[in-house]
Amino acid sequence: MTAAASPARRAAPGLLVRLEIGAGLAAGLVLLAAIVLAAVAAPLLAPADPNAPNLMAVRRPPSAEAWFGTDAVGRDLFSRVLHGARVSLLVAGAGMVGSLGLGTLMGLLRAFGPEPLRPVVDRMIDIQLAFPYVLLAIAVTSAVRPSTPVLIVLMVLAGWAGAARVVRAIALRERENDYVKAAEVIGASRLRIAVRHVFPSVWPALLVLAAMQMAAMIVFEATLSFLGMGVQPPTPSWGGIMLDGRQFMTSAWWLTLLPGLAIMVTSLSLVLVGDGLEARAERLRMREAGA
Amino acid sequence: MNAPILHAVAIEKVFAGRRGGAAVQALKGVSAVLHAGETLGLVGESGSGKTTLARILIGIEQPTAGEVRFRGRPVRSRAEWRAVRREVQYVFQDPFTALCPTMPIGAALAEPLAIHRLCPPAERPGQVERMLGLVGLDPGMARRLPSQLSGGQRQRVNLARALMLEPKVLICDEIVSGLDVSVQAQVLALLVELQRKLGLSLIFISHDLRVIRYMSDRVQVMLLGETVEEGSAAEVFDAPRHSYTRALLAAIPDRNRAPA
Repeated sequence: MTAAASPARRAAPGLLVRLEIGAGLAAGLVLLAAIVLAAVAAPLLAPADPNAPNLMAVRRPPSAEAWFGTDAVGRDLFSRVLHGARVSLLVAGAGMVGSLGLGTLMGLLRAFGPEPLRPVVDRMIDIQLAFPYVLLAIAVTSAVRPSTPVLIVLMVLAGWAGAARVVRAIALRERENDYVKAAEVIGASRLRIAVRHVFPSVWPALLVLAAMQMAAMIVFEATLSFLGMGVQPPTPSWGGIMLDGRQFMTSAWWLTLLPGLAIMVTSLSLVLVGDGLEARAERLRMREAGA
Repeated sequence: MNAPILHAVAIEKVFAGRRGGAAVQALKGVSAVLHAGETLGLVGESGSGKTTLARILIGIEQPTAGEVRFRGRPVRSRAEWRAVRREVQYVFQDPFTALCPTMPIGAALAEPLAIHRLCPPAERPGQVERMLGLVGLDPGMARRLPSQLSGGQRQRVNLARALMLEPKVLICDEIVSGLDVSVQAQVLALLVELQRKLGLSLIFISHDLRVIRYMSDRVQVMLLGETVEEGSAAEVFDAPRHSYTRALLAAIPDRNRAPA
């Protein structure tokens, strides 16, 4: 099969083939781009004000004029789901960037930092991983009023330890290689070795982790909102919309199913991207080894 | 004779045993002396402590006892090692793991210059090109990644990187043992030529006696963490005193070939 496919590849290597972008990764990227675009352009795309009630049209099922139907106070559900994407993507995106940033910092600190700090970092990772993050969220949101920045901090707290563990493992493995000792011999500082020599080896794993963590954070944010610990009403968020619709679950299915689908499709696109990136890294390694 | 440039004094090294295993004494009070301009050949079988000694001489490993002296001064702290490494460099055995896999050759070669602020950034590509020429590589190599190079090319890059700092002493740890025989000869010839051009003092480590004889002025034979014999290359090769040295010499493949 490979033999049959390779001459065709050599004859006309498309951009996707040259960059080793597989079907799953392409589909995930397209889907994610569409969702992000829809979130960014929500004020333009939304057919109605997401917070304007219309008591003359409550709990209308999906129809031609209201695609996703209306909620318990007659707000247009499609507009609310579109606007809810902004909150979900902002919280999950910023949380993912923050948690990977902090995790990378801690992971590299563990591998290359001063000796006395190493057990401290290890224990911090252990404690964070052992602590149920919903419990953490309850503790934090009972002390401070939940808002977007608070949610982002919660995402960072929930995600950094996992990232730190991955970075630590890769950095410790790379540290044993001769090229790290060779860099020491030419006089490179530990900071330089960590950033210039080892970090590039961490990067591909970090990309995969970024997609996977963001998928998990979309769900986590929705969970918090559903439990009433997310962004406060009337600002729409996917979990919050589901919370509003929960009591009508048997009579008005669209109130919970449609925002639930939005959550599912978004995290699916991110998982596709993550899996695709992982497979791509593997193919690039194979290509490099074969070349 | 003049004072040694690099001097290992009664080095002992014990590696702690893994998980309750017995500790391994890799070096049992070995001394080594390198004079300016000469080539010292360290020879011995695998496990004799050659590489450990070399790694202690560049400070990658710390000795359990004994000390390393550079130009007569003991080297102990990190800062002292940093200073010594301006003048003493080390070429690793395995050309496949000693180069950072994600860094292009040009960046790897420019790095020593950047770290020690030896020349303005604008002049670095020129320096890199000059050094690539010196080790017989095409200047276009600067843009490539290590994975795109052959073993011999990588070993030349390693050599070039060690030479970027214009060291006085170069420690070469089995640098040709991973290479094809024809490539070995090229790299050795290059090393001899560079030594003449740059006035290097060399510590050359190998288990291959023919290579040692070709390269060395003085030879030190090691066995199980001890020095069993040392002397000029001619003495050691033509009139070996220790039985182990004689056994090693007898093991050279075409030395005792029966005359036809």
